[in-house]
Amino acid sequence: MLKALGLEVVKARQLHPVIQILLVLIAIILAFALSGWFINLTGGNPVEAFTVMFKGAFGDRRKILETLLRSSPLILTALATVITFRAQIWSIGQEGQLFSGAMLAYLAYRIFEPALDRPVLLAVIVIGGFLGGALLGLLSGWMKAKFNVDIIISTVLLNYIISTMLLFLLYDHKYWMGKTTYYPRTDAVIESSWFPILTHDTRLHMGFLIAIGLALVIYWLLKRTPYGYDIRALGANPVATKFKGIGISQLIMVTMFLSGGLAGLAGAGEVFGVHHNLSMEISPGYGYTGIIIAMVAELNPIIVLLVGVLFGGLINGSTVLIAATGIHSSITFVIQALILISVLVSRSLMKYRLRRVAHVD
Amino acid sequence: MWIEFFQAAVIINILAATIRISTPLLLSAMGELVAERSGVMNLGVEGMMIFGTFTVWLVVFNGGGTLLAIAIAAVVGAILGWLIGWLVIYLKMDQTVTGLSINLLASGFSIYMYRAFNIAGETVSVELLPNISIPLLSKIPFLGQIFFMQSAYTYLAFLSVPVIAWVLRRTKIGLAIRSSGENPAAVDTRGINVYRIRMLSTTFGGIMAALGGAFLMTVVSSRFLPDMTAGRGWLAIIVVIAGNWRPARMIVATLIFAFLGALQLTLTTFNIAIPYEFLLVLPYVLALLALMLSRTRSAAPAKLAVPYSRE
Amino acid sequence: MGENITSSDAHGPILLETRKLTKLFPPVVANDAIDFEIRKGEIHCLLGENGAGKTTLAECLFGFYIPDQGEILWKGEKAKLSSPSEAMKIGIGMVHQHFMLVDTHTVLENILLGRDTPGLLLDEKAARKRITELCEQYSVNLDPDALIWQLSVGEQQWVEILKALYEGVELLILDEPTAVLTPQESERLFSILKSMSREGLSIIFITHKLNEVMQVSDRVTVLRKGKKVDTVTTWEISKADLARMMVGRDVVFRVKREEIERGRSILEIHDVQTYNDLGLLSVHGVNLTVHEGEILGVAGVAGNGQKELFEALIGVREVRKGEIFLKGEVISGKSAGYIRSKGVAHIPGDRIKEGLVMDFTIAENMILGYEWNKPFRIGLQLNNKSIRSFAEESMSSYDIAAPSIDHITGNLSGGNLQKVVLAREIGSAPAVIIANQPCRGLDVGVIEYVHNQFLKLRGEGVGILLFSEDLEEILTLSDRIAVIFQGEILEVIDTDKAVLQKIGLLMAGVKETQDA
Repeated sequence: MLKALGLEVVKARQLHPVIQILLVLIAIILAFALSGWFINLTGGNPVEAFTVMFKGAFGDRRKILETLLRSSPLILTALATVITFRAQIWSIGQEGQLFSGAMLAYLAYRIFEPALDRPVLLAVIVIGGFLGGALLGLLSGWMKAKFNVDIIISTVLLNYIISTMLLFLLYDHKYWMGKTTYYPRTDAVIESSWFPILTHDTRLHMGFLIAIGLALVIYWLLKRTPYGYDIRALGANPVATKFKGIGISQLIMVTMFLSGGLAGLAGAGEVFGVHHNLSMEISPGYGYTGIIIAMVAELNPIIVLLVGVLFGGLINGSTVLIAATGIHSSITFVIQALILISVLVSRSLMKYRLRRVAHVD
Repeated sequence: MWIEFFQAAVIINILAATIRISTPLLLSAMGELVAERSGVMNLGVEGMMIFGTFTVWLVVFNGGGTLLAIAIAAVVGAILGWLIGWLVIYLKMDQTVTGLSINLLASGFSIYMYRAFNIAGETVSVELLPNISIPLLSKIPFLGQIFFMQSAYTYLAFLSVPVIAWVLRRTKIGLAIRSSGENPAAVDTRGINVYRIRMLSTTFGGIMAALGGAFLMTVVSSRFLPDMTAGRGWLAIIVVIAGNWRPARMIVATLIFAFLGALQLTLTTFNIAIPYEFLLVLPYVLALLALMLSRTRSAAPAKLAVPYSRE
Repeated sequence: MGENITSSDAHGPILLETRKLTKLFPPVVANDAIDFEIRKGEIHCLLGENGAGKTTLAECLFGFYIPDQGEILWKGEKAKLSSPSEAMKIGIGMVHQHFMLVDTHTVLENILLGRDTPGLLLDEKAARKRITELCEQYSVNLDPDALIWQLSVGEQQWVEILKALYEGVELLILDEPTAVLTPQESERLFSILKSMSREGLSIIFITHKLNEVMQVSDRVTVLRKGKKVDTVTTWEISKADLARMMVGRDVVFRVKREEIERGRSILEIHDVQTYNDLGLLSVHGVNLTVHEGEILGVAGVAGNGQKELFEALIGVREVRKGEIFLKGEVISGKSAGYIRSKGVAHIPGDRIKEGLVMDFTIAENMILGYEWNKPFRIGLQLNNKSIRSFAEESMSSYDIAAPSIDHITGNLSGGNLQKVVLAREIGSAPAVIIANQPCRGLDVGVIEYVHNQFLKLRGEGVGILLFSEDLEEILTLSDRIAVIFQGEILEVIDTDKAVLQKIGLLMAGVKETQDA
């Protein structure tokens, strides 16, 4: 097709950073445009919808703080994705690890709550959340190291297995079931286990600070430590990494452990900072959104903060949509996926350019 | 309870259900096989199945008949397959992430469109395809009820296996497809357009996945739910791996997973003291175990998921 | 123009001609305005160093690459060779240096791939018949249903040639065909090629080996850095002249190896067995000893177990049986990191895939594998200062041509890449260096440099185990030569007592020479 036009695709050299950012912005705008077209198709008004969303996300101080609240788990799952994807470990288990972190945090709470003071209890909950996700991640890592099972597949399967397990516990197991059998969820956790709130008039809790802190830690880890070096080497050239004696199996297991832990923290945050109980509702796909954020942020932990807040705004803004415009909040999933695809495509296009075919006489 | 369970009628039911449940898995898996044999790993199978399911619902909602809905679903699958192909083959985008993106798009899209069109709260029912009894064969005791009283969809799905296997083995294009996954440079130097072969295979994979998804709406259930596919697309990918990229073994893997599904459906109606969720989760656990314990040398195409360029 | 042909009556009319053919891989000019021609029934060598542009030119003739400028004429008419299938249609076939075969398919399937036959089905019967015919014509024994990975390298090459002969070619291009053959197999190939040329087939033979040029060609065209130097008739020129044309200066054929006293044994390999990637036993019990201050060269044609043995020694491949000792300590069965930390450095066979991370900076590659060691690490962090100073030092002492240590490694030339690897490995002050094809694909100048480095290390008491397919390199550098064949060491000979012919026979598996 291109040949007929006298054009061919050739590899391009590095584009100027400003042009790169511009292209990404254009991609995002295109994604919104496409989403707008969908909204139009289903009888809504795109302009109205986007305005409502924006106001709902960033309209005033309280709304901004709520947006930041929404972005906390997203930043964490995105960071979980960053450290694995940087090593070309394609873990998509963030969702399952989020849940297993929530589950272990809740379990830790149930076991230790009577005996501990608030600060220690909070610490135990956080550790439980981290470990819950970390162990699930480690399981996938181990299956890869020992049995060569693809991480993509084991994490996907474990996602299904964990969520079904939670469903079972909430519906059927006395220890976990709440008193209200109408919804599958545990009873509310007592106030002393709630994550401390940062400002008196919103729900923004310490999870947000943890997320920011961890973003900085991950940035430092990747750039300045030998471990980060190993991750980057594994991602860029696994064969050379193996030849130079860097233990790949170990590296995979450690990284999956850390990644799972990050996602698990997100789960703990949702249970003890937002909902104050454990249910299936604590994550409407935060694990998957985290993957999207990480990819859009080009696996850079600092940019993840920015993109994470943007997506937090998307989610926050979408909750007010149905009341104001009748458009269902799930439009945010469409927008997220379209942003991902268009950003990825624009990045790929940046690697190539069209040029006139050289003539052979 | 268990005594009642082991009646012949029940067992026949389970086995017949196994054959029926195999259908979407088989269709998607065979499509994925062709794509992977040519060197493209399509992780968006789940998403394509969702699109297939949803397309059927949408067409029927707008007044179309079942057969038309299936045909359009196939077209949608072709478009998606072509899209993924173009992104990973020509733009050489990473195959894992591209596949995931399609899944996310499909999932979000289906949820949203379902809600948007469902404002009235009334779901549209799809007219299910009837079972066709094959004359003579269906009269065979036991086997007849299991194998030969299925829908045309199922017959075609099972038929696709030997057909595809034959095409791969004995035709020129089949050889080209197989070679493209093992050594695309060799194919290129023989004057065959590797890109085109891979595009073809990926598009075909998309059609099959969409048809697999469409099956769920036209034979199994007549109501649409956003998460209907429930990981079948991923199971299809696993079937290819567990079957070691050979159609005969893939059928076995498919039947095993389908059997577990059929078992789960039946056991719940029998009040047997096994938690419903446990049965639900069994196929996934089994899939994991199978992958872990598989010792045979992998027959994966050498250049699977590796983009090809000439220079 | 520069053609020195004095007698053209031995061969027919011009079959294929290029005029001012140019091919760019920006910013490199791979072929620069090349005028080339080949006549009917002629064996014409394309001679040049690595990177001179020989393969690029051939691929342009084969339609795999499309020239940016210039034209190609076939039998006097302009030809637009925009794809290999068009080249094949007019009668041009090519046997690549890296075989274009599907290992898991049969000979038959490989030959049938891409055949333009009517209908949808593969015509196996006709193919079988034709294959048998051709094999008989040239006295070659080949089973059409054999799987490619089961065949020897020489047999695989014959399959490649069959692919071209199958539909009848008038011009056959061979790219470095003897790189993977024993001396005896090469002879066999030459006699087949000569009988083909007698039948009127034209042959373009790409090589960098002067001996072959003298032995087999009628004319030779020398390329250097993308440009054509000259085309000469082979019997009218000397090897020295050709070498000078190839390199542009007088070439010293050998680096000098001085006699030194070798020390005690430092690396002992006892009865080592390993499997290859297909699960077959490829190293069948190898015994070798390397001493301090010695270079032990392992000669052998590719595919006889060198790669697997190399990988077992550095700890990347499992040792099924046997043991490896370093200074008396067991290192077999240990991790690659452990082995490295004990003082075994290595130069891998594929520097891009196995030795470097192309996306990293030069400085980062300098510490690949050593990032956890002090002084490159302080506490939890990398010590940038010491990393950078090590990198700067290495860049200057190894004369690595790059703008800075922060330059991305992927942009360096092959020679400079190898220097980075050397700097890193030698910089760790190893006791033993194991090198696998260290000079593959490098310019003569860099090869000299690398050889001198090895000799210097030898003088300092380092033990070097050198795997090389280049006999000349083995003879130049080694104190002793071990010949490997099908996973076994057939013999270890002192270089002074080595006879080339005997080594050639050993490489082909012939242990005892019958006195002729």
